[in-house]
Amino acid sequence: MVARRKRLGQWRTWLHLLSLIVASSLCGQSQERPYFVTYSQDMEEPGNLEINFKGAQGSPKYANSFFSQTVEFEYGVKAWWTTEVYLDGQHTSSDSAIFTGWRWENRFRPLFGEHFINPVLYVEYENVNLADRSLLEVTGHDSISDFFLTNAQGRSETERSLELKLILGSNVRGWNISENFIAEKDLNESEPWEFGYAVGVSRPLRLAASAKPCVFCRENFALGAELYGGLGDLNGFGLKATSHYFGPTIGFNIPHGPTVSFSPNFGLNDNSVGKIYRFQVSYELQQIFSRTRSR
Amino acid sequence: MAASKKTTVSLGLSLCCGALIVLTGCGAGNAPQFKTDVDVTPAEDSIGERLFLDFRFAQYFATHMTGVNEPLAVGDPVVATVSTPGGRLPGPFAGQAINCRSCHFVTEFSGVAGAGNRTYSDFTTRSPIPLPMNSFTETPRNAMHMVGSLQGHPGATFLHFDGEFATPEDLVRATLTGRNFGWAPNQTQQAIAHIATIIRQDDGSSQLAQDRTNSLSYGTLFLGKDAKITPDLLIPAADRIDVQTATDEQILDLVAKCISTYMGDLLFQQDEFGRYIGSPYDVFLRINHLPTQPNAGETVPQYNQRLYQIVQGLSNPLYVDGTYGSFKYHAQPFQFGPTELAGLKIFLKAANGATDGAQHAGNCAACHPAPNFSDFLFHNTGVSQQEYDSANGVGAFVNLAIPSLADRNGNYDLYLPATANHPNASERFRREASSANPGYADLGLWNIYLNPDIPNPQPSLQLVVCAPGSDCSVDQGLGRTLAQFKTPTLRDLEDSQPYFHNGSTLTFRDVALFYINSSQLERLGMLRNAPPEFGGMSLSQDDIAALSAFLASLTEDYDDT
Repeated sequence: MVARRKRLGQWRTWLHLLSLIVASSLCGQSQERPYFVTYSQDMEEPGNLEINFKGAQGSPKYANSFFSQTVEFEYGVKAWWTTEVYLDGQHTSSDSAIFTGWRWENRFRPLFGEHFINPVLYVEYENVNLADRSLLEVTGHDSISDFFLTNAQGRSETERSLELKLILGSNVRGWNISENFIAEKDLNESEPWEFGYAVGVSRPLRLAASAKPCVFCRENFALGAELYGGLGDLNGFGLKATSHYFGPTIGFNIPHGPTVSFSPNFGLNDNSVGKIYRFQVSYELQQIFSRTRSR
Repeated sequence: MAASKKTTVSLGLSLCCGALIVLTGCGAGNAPQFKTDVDVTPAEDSIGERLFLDFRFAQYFATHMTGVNEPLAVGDPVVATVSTPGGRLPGPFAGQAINCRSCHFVTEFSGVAGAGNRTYSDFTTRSPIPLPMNSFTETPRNAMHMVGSLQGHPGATFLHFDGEFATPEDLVRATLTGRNFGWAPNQTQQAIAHIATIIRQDDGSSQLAQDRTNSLSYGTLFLGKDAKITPDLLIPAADRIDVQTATDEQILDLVAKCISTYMGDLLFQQDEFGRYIGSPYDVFLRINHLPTQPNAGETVPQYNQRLYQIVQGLSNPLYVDGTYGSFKYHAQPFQFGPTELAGLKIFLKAANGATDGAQHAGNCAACHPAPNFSDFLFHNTGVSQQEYDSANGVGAFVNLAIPSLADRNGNYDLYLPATANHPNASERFRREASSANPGYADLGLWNIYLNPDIPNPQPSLQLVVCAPGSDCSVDQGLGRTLAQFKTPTLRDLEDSQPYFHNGSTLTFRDVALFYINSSQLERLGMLRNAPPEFGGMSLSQDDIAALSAFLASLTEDYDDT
């Protein structure tokens, strides 16, 4: 009887462990990559809505410091289609706080299953004025001089542009490696296509989940790095007169809670802002519409 | 479990609400609207250009015309030739009468040796006028270049060297009906009636009308109803008038508005945000990512001090050479190199307790601050004193008797400029100094400030002359306006020489030498009504080459396009 209870206890322990592993593996799938600019191949779960708040603080040399805020609503329409809406705003010291515009992006994953390289196609329409400081991408000849515009000047011109990205992502031994190739076209003016890139690498501090639920376990943290910048335009492709940034990133997935990430970005040349501090808080609402329907 | 769900939903909603609050807060900002270049040229601009070039408003045309739309049998001799450093050249408006462009050229002499493009100025020290009047045969002063004179800036607008006009409309009205167009001070109403006649009877048959306004008459354009009026020539409904029923004054007002709109568009090359882009200096700032304008919340003087600190700290700047551009209208190379940078530093530097000229400090930015290179205010640099002393002996200007406010205004005809109210005024203090008439001098702003016949600029002038910290206890500060003249911009100076209000210098070297001498006079206490800005000036001959190079780096290819 005791032996049977012991066997039953062992079985329950294994079952409990198994459920923890399954849970943690699910948690791992939905774990946010600690990227700010780079897109990985991860798509939003169908029916889930993720709300993401991104902040960026910078003090460009010779210009007023700024704090930009972006709110992002990401919805998984299908397993292969994720759509997002961004709302951007910023505050510049000694200047003002203004709404700078919106973006609507769609990501499509053409190949199902996990491959060595997982491509995702990205299409975005931007309606953002030149006072935008979110630095969600760097393209063309974007430079520190762009930050010299006052908010009044910047908001006097709205850029409506189409942005295309080829996102390539790989998961190798717990590492995620993502590369983005960006092409952007201003639809208002006869400006050439502009190009840019973003590369990100990240890894959870521990791949296996802890046996017991915990908050500050290593598997809840991910470390990584990002490199991004401009590649000129159709009239002059390359690195000449372009800006580039590099920064380590850290993400903290709070169990049953939001994901918090932070990254100091460092400008790599004189065309770049010296330092930008980024942080983001994201929270995922699961099956948001079915939840509404059930009510 | 239920509690967990509630927590989840409430967390999500909180985040969402927080985000919305942040963004709503963002929208509550109060960034000021910034005037930027408009892609569509206002109709009044195009019509204004035609009016600017129309010679029929001149008194000569009024007295010699055979019909409003008929050419003159014999043109006014005053426009037959134009005086340039290279000698007298055939006038571009020969056979006609005087128009605004007669003293404010642009590309009329493009490529002509000894002449060249102008930034809406002429080539002479003082411009000839159609008829001798009040013993004047020329304008009292050098024709100030018009490009950039209506550039947006903090503070009030003043026009002409002495601030006679507070608005461009005032200036246009006074010019078209005044001495420069051949009308005597007591002929103002006659001039207005003549202008109205020209506008009413114009039939659009002239070459000028054909080139600028598709052969449409002024009456048609001002009415704004004809189907042939293209959108770029359609005057806004609120401004339209029927010239057949409008009063003469209403017609003149619309003429003034059109020409003023045209004048307002005369700006040095700028991007869509109003940042200068045309000169090697502008390119130097851009390629080194240096600030080209004050930051939000920063004053112009603060910006200039910051710019000085920045250029002082530049360790390895990129210099501008021919790879960044070239001049189409100037023979010199398009460059901003180490010499120009040294000149910029001298230009921006303010001396500390200068007792001599050894500090390499021009303190030029005190009155010519970047990016406009003008504070659009008034200063006495000593030019009038130099002119007077040259004619009447060293030290003569310091001893020149100048009346008090009460004396001056009580004896208007004796001292102040001629106006419609005082057509016989002597204007003795708005004249070129002369040994034959030792009572003649040019006291600049002094003629205008608190002048009862010139009321419009007074409120703004009062704010400038009696700015906080100024001593206005005596004569409301009239003495402080003595020999003060409006600061011109230094952009593209090569296309507007000769320099100063009397055109007394032709080269940058001469200008720098003048300031070396004038600031020396100030240090010796021998400059009458010396400007406080000279306290920060400490220049010597060693600085001339660099300063000249820097001033040359502000050159651009201005051609009115």
